[in-house]
Amino acid sequence: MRRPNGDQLLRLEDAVEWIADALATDPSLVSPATQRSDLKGWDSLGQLILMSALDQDFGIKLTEDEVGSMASVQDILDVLKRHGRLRAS
Amino acid sequence: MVQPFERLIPYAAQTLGLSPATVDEAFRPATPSDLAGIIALRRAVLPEMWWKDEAVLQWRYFGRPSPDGSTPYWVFRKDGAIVGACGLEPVTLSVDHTEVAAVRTLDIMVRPDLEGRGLGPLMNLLLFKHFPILLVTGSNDASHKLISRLFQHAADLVFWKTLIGSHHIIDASTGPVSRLITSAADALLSIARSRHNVSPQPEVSLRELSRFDEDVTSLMIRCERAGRVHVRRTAEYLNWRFFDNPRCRYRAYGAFDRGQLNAYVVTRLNLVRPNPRREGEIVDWLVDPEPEAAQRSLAPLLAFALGDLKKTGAGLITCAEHGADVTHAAEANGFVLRDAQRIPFFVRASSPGMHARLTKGGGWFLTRADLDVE
Repeated sequence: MRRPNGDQLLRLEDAVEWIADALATDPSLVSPATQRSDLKGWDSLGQLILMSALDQDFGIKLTEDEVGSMASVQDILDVLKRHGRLRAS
Repeated sequence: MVQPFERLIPYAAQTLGLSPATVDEAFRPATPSDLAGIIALRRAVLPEMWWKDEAVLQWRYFGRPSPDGSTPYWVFRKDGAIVGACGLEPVTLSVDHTEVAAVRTLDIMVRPDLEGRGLGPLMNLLLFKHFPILLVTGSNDASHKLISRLFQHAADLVFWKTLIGSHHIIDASTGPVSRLITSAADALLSIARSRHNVSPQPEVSLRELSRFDEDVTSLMIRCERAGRVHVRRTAEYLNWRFFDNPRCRYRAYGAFDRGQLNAYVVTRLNLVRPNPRREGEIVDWLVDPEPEAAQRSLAPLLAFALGDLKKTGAGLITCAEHGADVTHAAEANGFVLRDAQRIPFFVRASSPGMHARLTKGGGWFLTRADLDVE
């Protein structure tokens, strides 16, 4: 997994690639519109891995509401944006 | 080696609204007072059961404690309710003729409203802390997906199949002429089977068994040797697993070569569950490792057992195995290998040496008895 540098803001395409990496998924299958149900790697174990990766790589600790509401790649991108880790497009 | 996922436990605790400090205490062996909560969970997860679940729970878990006295059924409690559970079957492995304790995991389930929150992985991760060797097969694609990442694939069971009666396979599709067609088909099947000469030699006697006794324990010990990994089959285990099993009726047969039990076969024809093709199964067997035993004992014994399955109306017979010394006997009885159909078998061991031996070292002896699906 390519870890982000310090407080570096991610470009959208880098964020999508990071998400694909975290979910052990081919990046070509991942876009902001991709739903959780479309990705084999985003099962309950994948969800835990994602939470761990957000914590380890960005210091983001998800709330219970955020965990429960993540249903698409866009939702993950929104989390990154809310925590100031996504570069404005 | 499988990835160390233990770092995920705090996150699983968080998704469930628990603290990491309490999550260990939340997952513990069940007690008899938990039975009502367990039954409620199982009904929520499996609304259509063809078996009497309370009787099965008593037989499989509450009536057969683990070596430490605890019930081999672990429950996860949240807010006073049982929201997850996992059944265990303590077994003894013979690994290269050395006895090793292991546990099969089966029956893992999560209350439907908590699916996707990581409780399934969490229960597995907590079990890893308690049990040094875990064996598992998945019963569906979703469980395979999870299991293949938490455990390591060790072997695939492959399927052998043979048709001994055509009635229930032809009948539905051919309407009024089905009787004529099935009679002709069954006659052809009988002719085809008669070409396989699997009569026992005079010194080999075949009979149905009403219970296993120490003869089978002796047979098991003869089968345990360097290069092989068996789940040990003692008389006590086999009697419990098959004859005391309330889910399904099993039948067992023994081949005695000059008075010594040289092979056994266990079959089932489960008509309590939906079974339109009347599929019978060769569930388990052992055969003496002496070179000619498969031909002298197992092949005729399998034929003997198939005869009884045919008498009880079985149509298709299947046999799932890995490394189980059954090729000669299966082919001699008209079974065909269906290599494309496989059931994966997974292992996890906390010791790197044992993990490597069990996952890459080969020599596993596996039959359908090593699966939890009945």
